[in-house]
Amino acid sequence: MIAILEQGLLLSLAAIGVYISFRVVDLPDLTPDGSYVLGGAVAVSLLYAGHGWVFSTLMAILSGAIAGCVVAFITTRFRINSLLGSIMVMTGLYSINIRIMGAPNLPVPRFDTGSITGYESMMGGTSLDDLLGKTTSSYQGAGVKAVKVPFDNLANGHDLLLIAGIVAIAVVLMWFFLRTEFGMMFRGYGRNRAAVRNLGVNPDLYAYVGLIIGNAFTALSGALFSMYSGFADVNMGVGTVVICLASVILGEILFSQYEPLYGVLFPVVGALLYQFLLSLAMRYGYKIGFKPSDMKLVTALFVVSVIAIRRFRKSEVII
Amino acid sequence: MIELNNVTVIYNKGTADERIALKDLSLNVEDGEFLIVVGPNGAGKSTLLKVITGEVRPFSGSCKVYGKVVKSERFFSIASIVSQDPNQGIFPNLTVEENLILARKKGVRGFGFGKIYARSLDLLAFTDMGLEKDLKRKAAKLSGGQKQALAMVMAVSSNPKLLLLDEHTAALDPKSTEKIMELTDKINKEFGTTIIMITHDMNIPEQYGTSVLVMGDGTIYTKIDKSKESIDARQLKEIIRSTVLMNVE
Repeated sequence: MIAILEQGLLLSLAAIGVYISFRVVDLPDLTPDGSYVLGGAVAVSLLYAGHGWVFSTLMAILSGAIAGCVVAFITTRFRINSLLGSIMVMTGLYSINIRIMGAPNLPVPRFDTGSITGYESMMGGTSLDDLLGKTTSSYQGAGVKAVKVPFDNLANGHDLLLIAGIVAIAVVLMWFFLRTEFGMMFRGYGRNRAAVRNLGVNPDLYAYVGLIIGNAFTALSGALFSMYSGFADVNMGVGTVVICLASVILGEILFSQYEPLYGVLFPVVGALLYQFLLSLAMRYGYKIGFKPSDMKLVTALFVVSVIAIRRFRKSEVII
Repeated sequence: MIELNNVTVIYNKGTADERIALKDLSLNVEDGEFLIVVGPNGAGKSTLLKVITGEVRPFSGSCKVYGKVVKSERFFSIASIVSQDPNQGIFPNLTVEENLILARKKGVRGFGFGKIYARSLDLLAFTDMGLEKDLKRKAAKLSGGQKQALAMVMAVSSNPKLLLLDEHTAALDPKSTEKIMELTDKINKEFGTTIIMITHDMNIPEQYGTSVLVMGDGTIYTKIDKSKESIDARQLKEIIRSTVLMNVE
């Protein structure tokens, strides 16, 4: 149960990002599929390079923000639909992520491997030493130094407390931001760009802020998930947008008419519920022939059906 | 003062859909004037407003607003526009109160927030639609008349010199139309705001406005200064009808 909560809360950070871009500023953005990996890739690479986890996480957030900024630039400068602009950036990020990691995936070194991969150091020499004479160990130093990550992966509540703390800070910060006069206009921009312009304000500013914050949240989620799970993989972001959208929709359905903290709680509660349903499907789904890999299909079908139902009812439409 | 000198606007120039929207049009609108523009569809009324806002650039001729050639970026600090769609001028997902807070225009100086807010509440109370007592309500849940009243109050809260109204009563019922027109009149008389208003409602020029501009086919048929020409409502209506009909024939 603790693991479900932990993973649900990690997902909720990305879901907050998707909520901001899709719902608050109404700029459908597919970049999270790439910026989620970007966050993980930057964080793990920096951990490798010997930096602390806090610095690595902050840099991951910054990298996500830059990705969002690029999408906003393409969208506003060239007047390209945000969906199309974000597909370009997402595709480009695939190559960038591999460049950053130097490989399609990168594990987080939890143990100091410098001493154990060296066969000579374990055995005191090799059997070839007698034939070739004493050689200097070619393995020594080839190992990786262990890095310190904030998660211990034990079901003792430590990880949960840390993740919950980070999510709580993120939610409170977003709530404060959306309360300010800038935040009000930010929310208003999502529903009426012309009115923003009529008030003498450049609407593009809010496109930038929305996409930057959205992707920064996604990258934060990716960075923490990589540290939590012990790896960053170039394919780990596939389906992030759809899963996060499903989480947002689940939250909206749960809260119905209410909009707690300007709706920032939708993605958090929705992501927890999504993770819970995912666990149920993985635990008991085999009885009806359900495989864990089917979950993405079910998620996509869920999002499409909610859009269809809402269109049918002529109420608010998602994209 | 707004000065249009020999303005010609051509849409889709050089294509099969080429259409002349304004033909060599010249017009002066004095400070404090409340000009009501009438005319059939395709007369060029909306294009006239778009030239003033800078949204449409004239093919020839010039448009000056308060002595400066129009550039769209500068427009919003001196003028406001309210269109016929009540949803266009407001933020439907925000409360009435939040809408009023945001109504303060950027770049407007010497007009404090407290003063703007207090005046906005007074104007809302004047419309007698109960909005000033329902500040926490989401704007999306207001009626069409209430939304337009809110849009009008937002448009004038920073005391613009010029207010452009593009059929802003077209989507309203008669009662709401009356309230919104009373508010429009008050804005002109009390604050001295210059107003250019487009309408298809032939009853409006009788009751409101200091002058009436009759347009058709991209030109001005006639401009009637109600203060100088002593004509009653029935005569005015007749002049508008006959002018339009005569030119159409």
